Amino acid sequence: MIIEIGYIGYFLLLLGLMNCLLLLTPKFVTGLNVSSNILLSASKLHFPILLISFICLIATFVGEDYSLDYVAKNSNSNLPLMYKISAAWAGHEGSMLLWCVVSSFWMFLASIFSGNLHKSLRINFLATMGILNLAFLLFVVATSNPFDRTMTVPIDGGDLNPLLQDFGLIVHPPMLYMGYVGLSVVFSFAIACCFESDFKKEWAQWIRPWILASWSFLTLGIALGSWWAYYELGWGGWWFWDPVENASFMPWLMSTALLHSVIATSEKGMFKSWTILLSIFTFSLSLLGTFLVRSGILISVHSFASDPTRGIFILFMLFALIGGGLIIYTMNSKKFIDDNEVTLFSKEGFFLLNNILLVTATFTILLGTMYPLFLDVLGLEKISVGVPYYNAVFIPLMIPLMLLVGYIPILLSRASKNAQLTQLGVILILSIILSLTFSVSSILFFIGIFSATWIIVNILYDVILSLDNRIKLKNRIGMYFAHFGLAIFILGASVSENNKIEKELVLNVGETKTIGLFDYKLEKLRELKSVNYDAIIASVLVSKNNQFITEINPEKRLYHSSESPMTEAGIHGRIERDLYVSLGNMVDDNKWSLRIYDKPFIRFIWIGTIFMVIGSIFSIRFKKKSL
Amino acid sequence: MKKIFIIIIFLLSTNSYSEDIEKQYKSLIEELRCMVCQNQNLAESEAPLAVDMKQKIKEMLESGKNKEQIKNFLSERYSSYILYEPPINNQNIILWFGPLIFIIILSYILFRRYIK
Amino acid sequence: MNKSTAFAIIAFSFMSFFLYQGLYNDPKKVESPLIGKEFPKFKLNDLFINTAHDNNIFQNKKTIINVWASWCLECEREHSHLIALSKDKNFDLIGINYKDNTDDAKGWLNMRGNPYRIIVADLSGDLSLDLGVYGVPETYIIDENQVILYKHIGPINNRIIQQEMMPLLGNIE
Repeated sequence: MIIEIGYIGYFLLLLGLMNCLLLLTPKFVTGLNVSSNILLSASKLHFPILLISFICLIATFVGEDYSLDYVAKNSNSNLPLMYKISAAWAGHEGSMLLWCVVSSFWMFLASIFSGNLHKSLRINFLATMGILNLAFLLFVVATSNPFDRTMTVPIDGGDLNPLLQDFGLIVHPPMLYMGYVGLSVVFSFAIACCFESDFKKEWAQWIRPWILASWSFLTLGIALGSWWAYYELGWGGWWFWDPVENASFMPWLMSTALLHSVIATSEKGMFKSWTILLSIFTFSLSLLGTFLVRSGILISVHSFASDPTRGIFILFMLFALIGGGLIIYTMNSKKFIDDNEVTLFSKEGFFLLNNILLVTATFTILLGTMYPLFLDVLGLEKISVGVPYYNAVFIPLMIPLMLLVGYIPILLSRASKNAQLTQLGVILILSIILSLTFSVSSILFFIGIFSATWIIVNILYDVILSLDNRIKLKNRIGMYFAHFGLAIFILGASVSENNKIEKELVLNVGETKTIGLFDYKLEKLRELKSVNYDAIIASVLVSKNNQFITEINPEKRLYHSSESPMTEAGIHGRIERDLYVSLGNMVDDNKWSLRIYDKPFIRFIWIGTIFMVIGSIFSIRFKKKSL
Repeated sequence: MKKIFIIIIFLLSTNSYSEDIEKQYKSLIEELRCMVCQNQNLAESEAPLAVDMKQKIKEMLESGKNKEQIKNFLSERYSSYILYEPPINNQNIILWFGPLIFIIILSYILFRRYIK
Repeated sequence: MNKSTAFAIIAFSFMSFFLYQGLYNDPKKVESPLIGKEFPKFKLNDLFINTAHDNNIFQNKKTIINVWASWCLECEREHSHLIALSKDKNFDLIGINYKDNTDDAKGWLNMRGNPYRIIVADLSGDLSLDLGVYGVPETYIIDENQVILYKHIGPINNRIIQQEMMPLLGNIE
């Protein structure tokens, strides 16, 4: 029975391919009515086909069918059930199939909700999505088939990488894919608009919630990845400018620019051609990211197993889809004539500045990520581009952006010039005073704190001034939450980086040492034998001024399937600080090395992102307009 | 009396001296790549080569060498690849000035198109 | 086709070309900056006898320098090749014993044979650091003037010896 499920899964993939080809027939067959019905049905049918195929894949994991190569590589009979299921998307082939499922889901939604769109627009929109879905599925079937058989069936599987046996990493890829692939909807819509004679602002209104939804998922996905890296990798870091992280951050920055630009287009019919171009580039970066991660072209802690054949396929896909998109754009961009002109000192003008800064930031990260590769191909000396470079070029771009973000409420108030200046002065002084309540030890730290307080005070000021105006509040609540979230994030990043304490120490069992405000005592160690790993768990007692605070339990785990031990940090997390303990090595009998991290305000980083997403959801909710 | 004074000054300065070295050490090992890892810095790596390098860096700092000298020492032997901050030379000029040029060009294009 | 379309296509083709080429580059392969430079100055003790050696041990001929240790599993794999190479008197063969226990090293060689004319014991790893050694085994070739011509990371095998090393070592009998 189990063996058949693998075949069913594969058969469904082939069915999906045929379905996509069917979907594209309207482009080649005249008689619009009949063929457009085929297109609509096929665009909805694709999702159940691929979903069932994916469920089949999960079934082969749960059923321990090691005749499938992918299952044999990523699973094991001792793996807890939860991880047997999530192993389905742990490796390249399965995660690519998940990508296809998510893509079919977005196309399904697009098909259902596009009923009120102009007919030719709708057909081109869904047809473009159909082409994308065809390309992704073709990639899976041709180069990355999770249903491939092994030559010999092993008795047991190779086991899931211990780092991936973790809840955060179960949810992180699906979130990220919902974001990446949601952007393909925006891309397809933009391409479809190129074939119309104009880009009506009602269409920008239509696509806006889709941009916000994709952005939300992308934000959550990246935040989850960062959160996971923090508690799992054992070094207390949350962002490394690793190529794969950059691959997700670039579409995020671009879609942030896009969600602002589209406001201007939907409300005032401005930035039409720029919004379309941004839509194309944003998804292109998603695709580029996929390429970089799966082709083996870059070194990263995060890379999938590499294979040049796959790389060539993705590269060709990149070339065809992005190149095609750009050509369609450049051939049609002259048509898009804005309804209104822009003045610099206005909401739209600020959006333009916002876009310039965000797109430059994206370019900078792209440059840093690709530069070593360019030099290498040219035969020049190989270099590394890491944290020092990115911090040096990224932060200076963000500072003016933060100033703009804070100023927006004042700008929107449309008060007289003098009133605006007074408001500006008051808020400025308030922000500086608040900033100085943190003991400011460096200029950079001050800028970080000031940016956060500047944004928050401006928001509070605006809210207080508008308490009686419900409509205005409703219109702005999304923005308030999102920008507030940004400020909280900056606060968390600034304080935790500037005031963090990181110490490596060696303790005897029973010994206590003081780090910062807290005393740490290595009380005892015990062993644990779990289903698929053995662990040594340390008991570290934390106290302050002789008062017991908590017990922290860092672990060192040796998974049966792995040679090198893994560290599980023990974290005592509160809003105002995290106490983070990582177990090092046994220096001697009853003597261990430990790493202790004291990280004030670090949770603000992820709390901030949650506020950003809440803001986005509010905007979707309250900004929906029917065509 | 003078002797005690000198000793105290010496002890105080060695304290801040070793703190200073500690700070330099920490920042150095975060800026240098572990040559046998998949994109980790020396601070995060427990590979034998990384452990040896960290030891050597400590020794060099204690013998009075500064960060620049240590980075030069290592990049002469392991190539610029070991430096996470790319050196500013002719080869890397696009890397360091690219962003500036980009923002100028982009601003020009967008302003000309959209701002009246 | 207008100007911007043409520009987009050209820019894009460039990018794709670079990415395509990049697929066939090994991102992990880094060239040693010491190629073309003189072998670093050193002063280390001989593994067996209590004598100090320095750069004067190099004779005026091409020399293979092999970095190895008794605790290194890969060194085992290439050892027979080194024994074979030691038979060719057209070039010299020197060993650097890397961060090893002297007794373990001597015992290891006793069991497997000693292909090196001289072995220096790099107990601290300083010479190896000067050479930019990543780990063991590694093999270098220097010429008559102690200029480094070649570096190989990992064990050597027939293909590497025939295709990469022999051309540098000159004609063999």
